[in-house]
Amino acid sequence: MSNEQESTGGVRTSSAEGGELRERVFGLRTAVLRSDAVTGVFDRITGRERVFASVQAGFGLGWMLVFLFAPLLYIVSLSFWQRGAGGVVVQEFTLANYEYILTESVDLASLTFKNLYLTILFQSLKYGVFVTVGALLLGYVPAYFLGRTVTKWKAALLLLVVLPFWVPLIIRYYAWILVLGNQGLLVSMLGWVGIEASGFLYTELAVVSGLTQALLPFMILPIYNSVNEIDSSLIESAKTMGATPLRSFYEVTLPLTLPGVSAGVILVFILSVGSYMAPALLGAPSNTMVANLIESTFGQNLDWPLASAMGVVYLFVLFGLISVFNRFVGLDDVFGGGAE
Amino acid sequence: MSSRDELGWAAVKGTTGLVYLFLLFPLLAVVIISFQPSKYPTFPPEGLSLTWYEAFLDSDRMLSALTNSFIVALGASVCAGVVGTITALGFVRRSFPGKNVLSSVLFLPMIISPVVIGVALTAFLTRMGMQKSYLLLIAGHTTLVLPYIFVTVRAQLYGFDRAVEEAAMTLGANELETFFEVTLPLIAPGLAAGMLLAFVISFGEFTATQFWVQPATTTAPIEIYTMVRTSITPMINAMATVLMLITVAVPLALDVLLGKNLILKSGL
Repeated sequence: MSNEQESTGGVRTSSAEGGELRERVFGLRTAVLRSDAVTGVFDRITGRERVFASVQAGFGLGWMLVFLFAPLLYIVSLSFWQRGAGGVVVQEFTLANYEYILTESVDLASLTFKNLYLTILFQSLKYGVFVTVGALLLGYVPAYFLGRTVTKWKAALLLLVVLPFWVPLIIRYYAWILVLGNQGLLVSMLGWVGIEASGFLYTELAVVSGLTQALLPFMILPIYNSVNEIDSSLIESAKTMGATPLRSFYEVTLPLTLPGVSAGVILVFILSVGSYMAPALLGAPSNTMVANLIESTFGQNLDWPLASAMGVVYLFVLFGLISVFNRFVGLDDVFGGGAE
Repeated sequence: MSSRDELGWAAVKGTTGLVYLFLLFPLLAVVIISFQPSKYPTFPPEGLSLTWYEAFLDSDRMLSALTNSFIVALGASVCAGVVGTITALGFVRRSFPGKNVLSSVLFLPMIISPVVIGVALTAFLTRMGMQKSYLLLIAGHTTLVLPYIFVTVRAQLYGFDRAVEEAAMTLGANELETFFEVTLPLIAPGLAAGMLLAFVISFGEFTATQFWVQPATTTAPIEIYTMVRTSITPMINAMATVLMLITVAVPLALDVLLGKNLILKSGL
């Protein structure tokens, strides 16, 4: 638009042609949008105002019904069926899959897991706690800095927090392999200061630190949002009243950032518990998490009913956690509020 | 500001710098290493070369995986763009019972482990007799990225002045004209930001995708995962750098071209 106004005499002809073309396109669009065929169909849909309202929201909800809820309901029924020879599903009712989950001991990579699934579920929750605590410790200070700084680089600095989120996870974990590996960067850097080390990969530490790094933006952004919303005169008046910087932080800033902290904690915890790639790429077999167990049961052992039962138990735990969190913070606040 | 304040602020700054290093250094290292000729990564790098980029460009497998990722990400972001926009319109402008709970439903694909979504959709569609194809990939990815479009368009709609629509109607535009000539251009920033985000997420998705691909539709993240698990060659660095260029530099450039920091303003 502005180009058109800025154009000078020399290009006036072409811009006039452009204007004519635009006019013609606009005319064509108007003709289509006013044609009986189009408006007729539209009228038929909108004829009943309330029907159309449900149709609008129903687009997304219907999509979720077909591609999320129906599949999830299907694996619930699958979890009560049996696995036949060669991975064929036999549609006969059984509780064997759940019995297996609750009782079976399994040898995996020379380690015996009593109650394999429950042990691994517990391990996933444990890693989730580690990652959440790690992300909170690492994320709070940068979020506070971003919320309080007045530099003109603020937008760029915020962008640097968001950017890693766009990089495919597989690449972020691969980069972590390069850092932690046997001939990795950390080993050679430690070598410069005279410390002998032999790589840190395939350990619990590697899984937890990789996940912490991957999920850190989910902690920083909501906390940043709540720091950013604090009226700085509140902090100033605390100081005027004689509060030390630390005291004004504890009494004013920290309570006001708690909504951001809880949103970040919930997001990071839920996402880390369901992680697949970090344990698969950075961990040893003993660092397996629930998602990996489901994948190997489904993809390698071809035991779809058992994998489904494992998925159902995971969903139960997930929705249990969500309903607990929901008492403190609404899920919609976490996503809708946190992202704005 | 007292000196104690300044000291505290310096500590905040220093910690922030270290966290940025933790966040960004590994990715930077991949880019730097991708330009060095030796087979094993050394740091600092010894010399510059494009050897591994040539190897990458010679690899038909890699190029076809990239093409597949493009097709799927484009399909999913367009599909989710249409569905997400209509849905957000319904949620913001109409009232119906159970709205809050129902809007939470739209966020579920963000929080349920992608392994479970992948397994469930595969099992369900196999049962329905559907073959693994681009269609399955696009439908699956649309489900995964729909929440992002919903959030960005909804945010745009909250700040929307409906008087401009009424003005258009008063001036004789019908409802469709009003939507395409007035409403859509005004929510375009949110929609564009959401679709860019959707493209980027679909392009890099691995975990659910591993259940949905077949050899002909293998995507770039799947190829990289296979390479990382089987034989780590320096070609991965080149491939990873190209993928970062596509998922970071291209959306950023588009963001600057289309408007000012749409993506940043939209939050994620």
